[in-house]
Amino acid sequence: MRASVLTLWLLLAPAIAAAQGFAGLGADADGFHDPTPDRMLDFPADHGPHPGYRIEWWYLTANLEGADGQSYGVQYTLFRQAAAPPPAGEGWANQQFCLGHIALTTADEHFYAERLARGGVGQAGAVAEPFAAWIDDWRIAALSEGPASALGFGDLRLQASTGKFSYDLRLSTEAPPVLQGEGGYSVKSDRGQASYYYSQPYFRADGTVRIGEQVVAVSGRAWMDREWSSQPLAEDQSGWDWFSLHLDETTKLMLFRLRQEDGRHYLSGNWIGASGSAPISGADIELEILEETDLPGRRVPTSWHVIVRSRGVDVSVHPLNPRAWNETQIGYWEGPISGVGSHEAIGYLEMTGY
Amino acid sequence: MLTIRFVRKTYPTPEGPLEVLRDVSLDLAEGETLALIGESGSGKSTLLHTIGGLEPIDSGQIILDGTEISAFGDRRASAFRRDRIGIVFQQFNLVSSLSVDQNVRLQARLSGRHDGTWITRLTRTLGLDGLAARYPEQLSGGQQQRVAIARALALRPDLVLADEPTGNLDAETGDKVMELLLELVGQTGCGLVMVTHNLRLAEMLSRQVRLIEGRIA
Amino acid sequence: MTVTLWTLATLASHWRRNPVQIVALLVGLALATALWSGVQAINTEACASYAKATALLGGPDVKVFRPNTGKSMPQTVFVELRRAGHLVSPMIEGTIVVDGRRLRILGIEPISLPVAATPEGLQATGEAEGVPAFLRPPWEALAAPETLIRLVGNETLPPRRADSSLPENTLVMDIGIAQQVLGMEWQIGRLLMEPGMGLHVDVLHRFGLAPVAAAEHDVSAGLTNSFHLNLTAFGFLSFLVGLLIVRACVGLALEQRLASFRTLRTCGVSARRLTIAVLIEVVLLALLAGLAGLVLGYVIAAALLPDVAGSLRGLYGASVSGTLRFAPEWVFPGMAMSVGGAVLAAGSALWRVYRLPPLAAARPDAWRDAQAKQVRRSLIAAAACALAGALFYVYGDSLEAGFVIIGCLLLSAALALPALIGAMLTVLGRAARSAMSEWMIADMRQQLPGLSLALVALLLALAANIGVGTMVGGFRETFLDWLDRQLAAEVYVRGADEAQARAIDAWAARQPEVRNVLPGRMTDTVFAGQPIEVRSVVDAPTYLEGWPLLAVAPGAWDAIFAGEGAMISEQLAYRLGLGLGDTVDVGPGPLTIFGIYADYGNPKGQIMLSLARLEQDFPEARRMGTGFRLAPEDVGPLLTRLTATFDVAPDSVIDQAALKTLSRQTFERTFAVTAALNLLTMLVASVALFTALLSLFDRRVAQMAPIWALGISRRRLAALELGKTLIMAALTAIVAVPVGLILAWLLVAVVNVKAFGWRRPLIPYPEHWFTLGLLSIAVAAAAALLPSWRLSRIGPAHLLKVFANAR
Repeated sequence: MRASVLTLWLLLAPAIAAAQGFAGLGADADGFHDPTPDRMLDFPADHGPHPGYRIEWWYLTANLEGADGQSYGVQYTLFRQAAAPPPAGEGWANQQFCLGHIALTTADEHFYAERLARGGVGQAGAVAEPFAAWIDDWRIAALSEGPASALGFGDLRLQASTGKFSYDLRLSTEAPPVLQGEGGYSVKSDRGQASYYYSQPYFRADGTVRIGEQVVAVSGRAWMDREWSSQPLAEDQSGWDWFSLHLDETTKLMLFRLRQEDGRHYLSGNWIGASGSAPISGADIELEILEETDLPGRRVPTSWHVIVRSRGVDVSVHPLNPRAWNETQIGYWEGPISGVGSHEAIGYLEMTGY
Repeated sequence: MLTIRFVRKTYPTPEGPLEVLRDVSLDLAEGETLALIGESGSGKSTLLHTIGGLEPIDSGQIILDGTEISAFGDRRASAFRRDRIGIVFQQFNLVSSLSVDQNVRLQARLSGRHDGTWITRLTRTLGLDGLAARYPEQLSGGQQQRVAIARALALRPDLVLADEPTGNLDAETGDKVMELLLELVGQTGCGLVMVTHNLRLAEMLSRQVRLIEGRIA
Repeated sequence: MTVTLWTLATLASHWRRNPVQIVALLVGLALATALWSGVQAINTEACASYAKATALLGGPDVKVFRPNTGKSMPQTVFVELRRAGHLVSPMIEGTIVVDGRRLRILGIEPISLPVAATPEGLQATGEAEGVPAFLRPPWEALAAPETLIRLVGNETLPPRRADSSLPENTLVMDIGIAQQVLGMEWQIGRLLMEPGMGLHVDVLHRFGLAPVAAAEHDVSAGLTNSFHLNLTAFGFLSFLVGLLIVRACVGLALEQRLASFRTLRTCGVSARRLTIAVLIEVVLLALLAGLAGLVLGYVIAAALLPDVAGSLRGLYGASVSGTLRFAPEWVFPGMAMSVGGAVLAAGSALWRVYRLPPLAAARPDAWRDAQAKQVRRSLIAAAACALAGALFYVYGDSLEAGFVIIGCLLLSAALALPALIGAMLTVLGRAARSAMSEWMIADMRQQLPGLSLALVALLLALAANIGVGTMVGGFRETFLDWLDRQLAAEVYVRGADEAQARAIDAWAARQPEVRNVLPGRMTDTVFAGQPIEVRSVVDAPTYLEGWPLLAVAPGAWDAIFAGEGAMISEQLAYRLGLGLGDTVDVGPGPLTIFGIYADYGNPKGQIMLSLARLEQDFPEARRMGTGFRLAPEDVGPLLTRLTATFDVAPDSVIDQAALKTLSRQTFERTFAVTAALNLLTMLVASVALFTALLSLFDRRVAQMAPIWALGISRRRLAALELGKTLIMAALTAIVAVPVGLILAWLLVAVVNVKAFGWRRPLIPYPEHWFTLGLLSIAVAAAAALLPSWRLSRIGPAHLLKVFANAR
């Protein structure tokens, strides 16, 4: 990894750091827009960037089975960070910065890589139609030039590579995007912090992954999250534990816990079924740590007992690889999980602030 | 105190080796003063130099107070000379850049046997009091030789070697210098070996030995 | 310990009694160290400046790519490469003129920039979080503190922050703002990659890129070395001279104290201890003198550095800081040279002290007699050195061999000098008619061994002056001549863009006083793996007559204007081993070489085509300033009309006379440095001579006494003494001229060609030799004055003593 101090400065600000509450994002968002509950999301325009908001991400995770019988997890994230409120500025004067994270996880190994770039000149960015989000050659983009089907993303191709690993996946779905929170307005604290948040949890994924020289054909499910905000966290929130679970072909579960310094964590979630998406209140959720993993310099809860009482969910989730730590400039845990109990689930767990 | 046994010394010359000393044997008792006399080239100066360790010998022994100094290399011979032997030369051999006082104290300082009281007495006896700050070039020959004698005796040596000490001086000055030398040798109680071709001066010493062509006559 | 201390005190008492000697010894050694360390300091500072400039591009390991043709490429090349997964970083470079001085603008993209190429100012910042000021409006730039001071009050450039790691007169800023400042929006100049990365040949080909060889973006590998070579040659030669002085001084100091050494030996100081004491003394003196020399060297370097910096900037565009720092790179070698040199020079003397018998007849002349016998042996050694040099010349083929040959030459000359002067004195002796002149010649012969070291020092100083002076002088003459021809036109005008340039050309052609309009184009390309320039030439008789051709085939110009031939620069011919009749293949078809021309000072090779052919083969070639030929008195009015008609920037119009004046000034500054070093070297030689004469003084008295007794006044004797020294100096100068010329020839024809690829004509400067001859006599006079004066004041008693002591 490159270790330019400059990179560090920039990384002190972006999205993940926001979760840790030390990047000033808990402070007032002068000049930036703030999410409001009454705004209707508009597709496909909202697939593209929102430079008036401070941070934004395109977040894709995939649980895959290889032709070799092994399980694989894939992560692709593009963060957008605005250093100044609009207007964005042209060319190099543009004050939008992009951060890319990619990762590939097996039961034995976890690979990750990170890139940083400036917006404005075309090296990194996103467009709504035809959909594309990229940083250098790490790219997720619409396969066909035509309009996206059902206001969703349509068929996408996801590509990223480094010397150590790469992946090339085709993602397809007919389903429309799923709005999280209340119609896409996702509250993050009792004091009003919120973001716009929608997902596409219905992707079928197939393609190849490569580790070193070894290429394996893979297929499975993928889940994309889109979120943007200017002030997503309260000042006393130190990190989060976020779950995305495929309970079956049509039923999906998203829930998160925002850890607060006073120990009264903020829990929330969404139940996604054939009839649509419904919020889950914090009181309905119970999260219990089953097992922790010692990683260099930290201890991370990697096995959980997840209960959603109103929906009869009671599963124990375990990681494919408990050491799925992305030691990026700001580190976090991100890896595939599987659950047993009331449901046979697969999904992804993300934990920040450890 | 000094014992010389079968000392031989040869110089290489273009015409072949020249035997300067041929089986010279000699003894010097405690406090004895000895005059070495002989023609030029008889080997008397060479004998004196070998006693002082200034020239090595080819064979034989030179023993001073039980120490065989003729067996020493340059380092030990130098140290022995520095600490035990005072030498007075015909050409005075003073260090031109040192003052009279510094010249007098030179060897005593080198040997670490510097005795201020003794040196003060010595310089007074030799009449050097008023000359302490002068430099050799500002002195007459007699004065320079008195400085050389002071230097040789300043460390209270066991043995004083003198090589024609009055050779560069007129008769009157020479006699005065000679008297002083003998007086001080007497006071110190050290031995004296003096080379001279002046029989009158030789008579002033307790014993005379004549060298002829490198042999004791 | 006591023994050593008292021995040292006794040794030191000599200096107290003879202060002139110790001053001469210290001054000689200090001057030698000063020259050496001064020159080293200048070189070190200059190299540090280059290193800074080079480090800005990330040093030798960072991969650099540039467009195959032209100086810039569209920014989209960068984006496309990044989006294809090639981790390149864009850079743009250019110069602007601020308040009449050039300022280098370097635009970087700090996020993608290789870590090794990131300026210190971007790595260490006080800002704890957020986007650094470098990347957000108003886009803070970085510059060396000296540059900041220069730009105080400037409101047009972005705000600035100090970064002392940057070279002077360079402003580093974000690429976006740099593009605006340079007027090159959406353009980039080069692409950088982290060490260990690279671009595949196919990629290079597809994007029209060429890798930049490390040497090309390393300024220090360029022509500036020529200048430093001069300086280093001077420093080294002066140190050699300094060593000879030290040898003479130490020899003198020991010889004069032989009697004291013997007395110390009889007082019981062993040979070993005495030698150690003398060694300690020499080292202490060397340390003292070395320290003084370092300070003096610093003063010399600090005084010369602004001129050196000015020269380098003017000559080669290399930016060197005008201020000097104490750097271990020259401080420690300076001290080491001083101490090591002194010990080396004292080595043989120390050996003699060690072997000194306490009672040997005190004959101070003994050493010299031995030296006199050495003359024959020296002559044989000189012949051996000369032979070795000749063998290296015939069989050696490298820069190193060139330096070895120079070493052989100087050593050989030094060894042979006493014999040569002896021979000249023999010839003079045959011509001598009067008894007095016969005695003088005989006396000089006798004096020669004692003076030979000092004379060798003088010889080396003179030879170095002639050699380096001839090299630099030849450089100036050919360069100025070449400049005259290159700048044949009276005015050069550069249009803001192609359209304006064409309009100006057309306008100029209509002006009655303009005799010729000479447009030109140039482009960069790669040939045989080397970056080269391709330039145009137009068919104008006044222009072509003066072209500095080194070799030309019949009908050359016709062939070139027919588009069938090309000419190449000397450097390119030398590097690629090309000659007349060979072909070069840079464009669509091969071109026959019809001529080779001089292109001094250009680190790149060059190919010259007709304008038509160049425009056809390289449509992207950029315009050079168009030259207008007209009468010098019409220049002013024409420029007035031109600026009234067209909106041209002031720095786009170059008045040839002004440019030439600037070039000449640059050279004069170079000469100021050379002249100062010349003078210092001669000063060192003068001290050497003075020391040697002092050491001979007592012996001189002994030899003068009989002559004085014969009825020659002391005054007359002193005058004769002075005269003899001057004659010896003059004889040395006579030997120095051929030695200096051979040295110059070696520098020009061997070292220069190997180092830089071009050869300059050797132009002898007899008036320079004459000046030097006079200078050497003046130096000898200065050195001999005090000893002669002392001789004239010596008391009769002192002279009489000679007889009294001669038993």
